[in-house]
Amino acid sequence: MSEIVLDVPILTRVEGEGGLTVRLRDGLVESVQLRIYEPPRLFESLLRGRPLENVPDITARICGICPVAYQMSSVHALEAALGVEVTREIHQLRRLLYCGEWIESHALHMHLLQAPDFFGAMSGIDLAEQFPAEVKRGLELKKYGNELLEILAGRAIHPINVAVGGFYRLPDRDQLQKMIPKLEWSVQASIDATRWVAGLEFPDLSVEYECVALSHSDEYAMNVGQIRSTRGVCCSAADYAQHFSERQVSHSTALQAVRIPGETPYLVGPLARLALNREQLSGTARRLADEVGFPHPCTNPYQAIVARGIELVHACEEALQIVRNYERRGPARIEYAPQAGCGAAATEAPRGLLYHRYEVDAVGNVQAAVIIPPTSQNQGQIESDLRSELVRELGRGNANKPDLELQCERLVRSYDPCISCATHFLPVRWEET
Amino acid sequence: MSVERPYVIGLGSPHGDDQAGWLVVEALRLRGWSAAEAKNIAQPVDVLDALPVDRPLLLCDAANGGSVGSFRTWSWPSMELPTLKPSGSHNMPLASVLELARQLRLLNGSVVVKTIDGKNWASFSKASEAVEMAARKLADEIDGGYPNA
Repeated sequence: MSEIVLDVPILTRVEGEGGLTVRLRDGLVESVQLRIYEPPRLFESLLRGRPLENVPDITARICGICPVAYQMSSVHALEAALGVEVTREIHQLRRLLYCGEWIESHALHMHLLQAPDFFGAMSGIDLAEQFPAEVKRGLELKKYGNELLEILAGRAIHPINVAVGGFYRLPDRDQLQKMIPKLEWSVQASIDATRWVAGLEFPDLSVEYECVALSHSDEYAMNVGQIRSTRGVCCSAADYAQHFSERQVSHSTALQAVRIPGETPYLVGPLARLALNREQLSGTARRLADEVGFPHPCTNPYQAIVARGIELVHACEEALQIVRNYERRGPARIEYAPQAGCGAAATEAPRGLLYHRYEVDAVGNVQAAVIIPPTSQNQGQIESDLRSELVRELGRGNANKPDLELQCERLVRSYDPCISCATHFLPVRWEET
Repeated sequence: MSVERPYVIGLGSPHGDDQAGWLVVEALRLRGWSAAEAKNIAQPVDVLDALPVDRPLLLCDAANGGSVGSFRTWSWPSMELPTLKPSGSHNMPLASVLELARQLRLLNGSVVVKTIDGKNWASFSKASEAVEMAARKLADEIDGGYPNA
């Protein structure tokens, strides 16, 4: 009997701190553990008792890469609790915010985090030696995404202009107009970037996913719509808990979300969004997906880099359209009166579906908060994919430990996991005597 | 002889003394520095957003290990910057970011990194008084004339 343990103590080029342990026995995969050991950050407890107006600014601090998604999911959930309906102008500006965040996050992941894996490069620095123009292009795209965030949200990191009901201040039209040439460049740059990554050679892995994403008939869903899955789920965020649940596993400080009742893993993120919403992509993005032969649905997790590229094109094109048509009208914010209630919302962070639920009391203080980040939802699927990948590699006779470890790490990176976001919660059991 | 004003970047987070770099930039803003001259960021990788710059680059950050409120200075690339393990783009070390910028020819001159030592890193807590004072002092020095800072 032989036992091999593959150990990746620290996953590199992912957000936060995690590792991986795989146990192989007699050539078979015995266990796969994506170990998340970053300490929990207890944001949900931190929100309890706070005025609801504080929530967007606190939740924005959960993540430095996708603060908008955290902020906006909380805003949408609180608006659901308060019965607030926003104007078309506010809705469009919120989509523009998401475009900014998707642009900066996708550009960063494609060029600095995942692309090095396809060229034998250890880091973005190594990749820049081989492909300086491509890396520079990626950084320029990221920069323009951040500039959009600064105009709309006051600053790119931990934005401050987002409020329940809208914005504290509407953006200046002239400032947005100055983004037009940059966004025109970005549309072409993102098309070129997508063609570049679509030409990469991908490991031959195929997984049957249950894809889950927000879906909307009129737009590529970012912040409103129904939660849908490729296996028939179609529900509002209010009914999320009827279809999904969280469980604790001993090797992770982050809870893992599963589909219920079967407790099966599922996939969120760009591959899931494209599987469910390809028809709602902008014209250029849809044509590009066809041109590069992007499968529908795509079952290869490594090809998430191409999915990000296609979404990058969409985000640049939609941002350009919104900016071109923007007229500052107002109001900046819809007024509301505090009332007791409960509200839930799901929006699409760059890494996938992000769910928030809040209970507020009659004076507007938070009584309970639930936040389920995309990486918590993808954890089970990542472990399942790792099993499939190891079975595939072992099946083709590859038992080289360093090779297998590297391959596992590449697979985890293709998910763009945000471990810092996922470790937001730890159930605390109080025992009183 | 007139001295060229640097482009100042404050690195930090909202947590305790990790705000040191941000406090320097905020103090410079109060002294009339524009957003085009001084900017706050939360991750080293965002230094790249500010490049290229046509003036010296000065980075302000928090550090750990010395007495609270004390200053340290590094000049890159002649001095090696202390780094954490590169465990993600949140933590892509400053030295790696600067090396990438050099690789892409976004950075021609040298970079000065000024740090203020802290000891309180609790989530959402205020910065220590000593760190706040040190940040104001550093801003005064920067405002008074680089490279004396």
